[in-house]
Amino acid sequence: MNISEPGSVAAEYFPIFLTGALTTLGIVAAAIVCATVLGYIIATLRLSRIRALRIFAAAYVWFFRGLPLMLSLFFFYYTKPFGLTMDAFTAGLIAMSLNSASFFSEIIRAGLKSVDTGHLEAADSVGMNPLQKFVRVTAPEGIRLMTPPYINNCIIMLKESAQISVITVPDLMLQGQKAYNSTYNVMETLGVVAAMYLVMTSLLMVLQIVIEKKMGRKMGTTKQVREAVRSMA
Amino acid sequence: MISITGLTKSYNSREVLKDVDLRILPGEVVAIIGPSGAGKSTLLRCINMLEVPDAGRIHVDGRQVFYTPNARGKLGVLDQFRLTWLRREISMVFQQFNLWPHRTVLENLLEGPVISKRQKRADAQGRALEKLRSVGLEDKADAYPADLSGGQQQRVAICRALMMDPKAILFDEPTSALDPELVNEVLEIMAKLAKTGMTMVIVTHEMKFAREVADRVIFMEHGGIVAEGPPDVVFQHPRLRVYASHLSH
Repeated sequence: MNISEPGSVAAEYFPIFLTGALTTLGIVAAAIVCATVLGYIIATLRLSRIRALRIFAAAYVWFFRGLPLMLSLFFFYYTKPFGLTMDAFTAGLIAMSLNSASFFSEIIRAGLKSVDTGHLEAADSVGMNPLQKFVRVTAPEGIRLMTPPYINNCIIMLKESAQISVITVPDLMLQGQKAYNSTYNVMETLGVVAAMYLVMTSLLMVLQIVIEKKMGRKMGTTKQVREAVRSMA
Repeated sequence: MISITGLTKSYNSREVLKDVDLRILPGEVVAIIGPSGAGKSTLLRCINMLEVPDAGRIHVDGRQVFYTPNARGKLGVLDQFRLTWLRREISMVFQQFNLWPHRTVLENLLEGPVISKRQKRADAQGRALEKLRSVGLEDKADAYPADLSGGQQQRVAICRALMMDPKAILFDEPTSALDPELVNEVLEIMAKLAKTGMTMVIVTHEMKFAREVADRVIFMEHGGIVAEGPPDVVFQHPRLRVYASHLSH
């Protein structure tokens, strides 16, 4: 095969790039789920009435928000924490989840706190129990405010997942690196990889716009939501 | 209907209610008036446990309300589960309306009966539209609260309270957040409701309304009841006349 012919490198490596992109999507999706669950727990701890829990949660956020993701990645992959040996994918997933949970917890905390006390009292006043109150009022009102910064953070996670290539997770970035190492055609390999990243992040951006528009129209309070979101960011 | 004895409540060592006794008869319309900080709203909110008193007995419809306040003076989670019966018997209308902004007017009315009381949606929907018609808002069933004026929102909130088929409705300064020109449309509906024999406890600054509509007026100051009785009598009380003269300035 003549690799000097334009487009030939991209065509040859495209299937490999695709598996890389799937790995990226897989680890990011898993990390988003883990980070959301963990972030929710940290957020409720931070809103807890018990001081020790609040301090623990604040310390967690301070710690992981202030550390580079790369450092956490190296830590979990190379130091074998607590004698645990893990593969690169697991180490990457754990590091990304712990790191992003600190950001998600702040978003979720702000969302929960911004639910109007009066709306909650109205739920009390019609005899809803705490569970019904959460499902019918807290969650829908909170999620409406959380969605824009939440998706924004998901986009950041998708981009920053490129760092896991450093600990040998075969993601899109690593496949791109391999391709230009063996072909020396940086422009073409990285060009295709860049396009694939943009496709993935664009999908998330479109999702954000669609959701924002839909909720804004339904509520008739787009301006209010935007202001609340701005105050959160 | 509602009987309260020895009700006491403090916020951070400031006594808001001092040993208050109150009895509300079925079908009675009671207006609670008095200066800001007198404890009117706190008293009202203690009746359905949105605020939890420090001490005192409360009976609603012959049933005693048992409660324990948590550190913030609100109901603990377990008590919230246990006391849903109380909130289903006694509805509330708030100063800030507190309609749920993510639900339409109709959905706001259905939440109580369908989610909380587990009634059939179809039945409740018919009643909801009827209620909306009675306050002149049948064409707003599918609107969102943000699209309504304050007066319209408060009328919807009154319908929401009525949807619970309550034994009594508590009104917490229902017209205080309204523009002056919107006050009357809400007061008119409350006056109509009073004529139907609904038990109503109303915290208000509308002296004229209290005088004309209430069966009994309670005047509160500094966390205690200073005077109570028929409007004509209470409005002659010297303390109330001092307060009323401040209002008119």
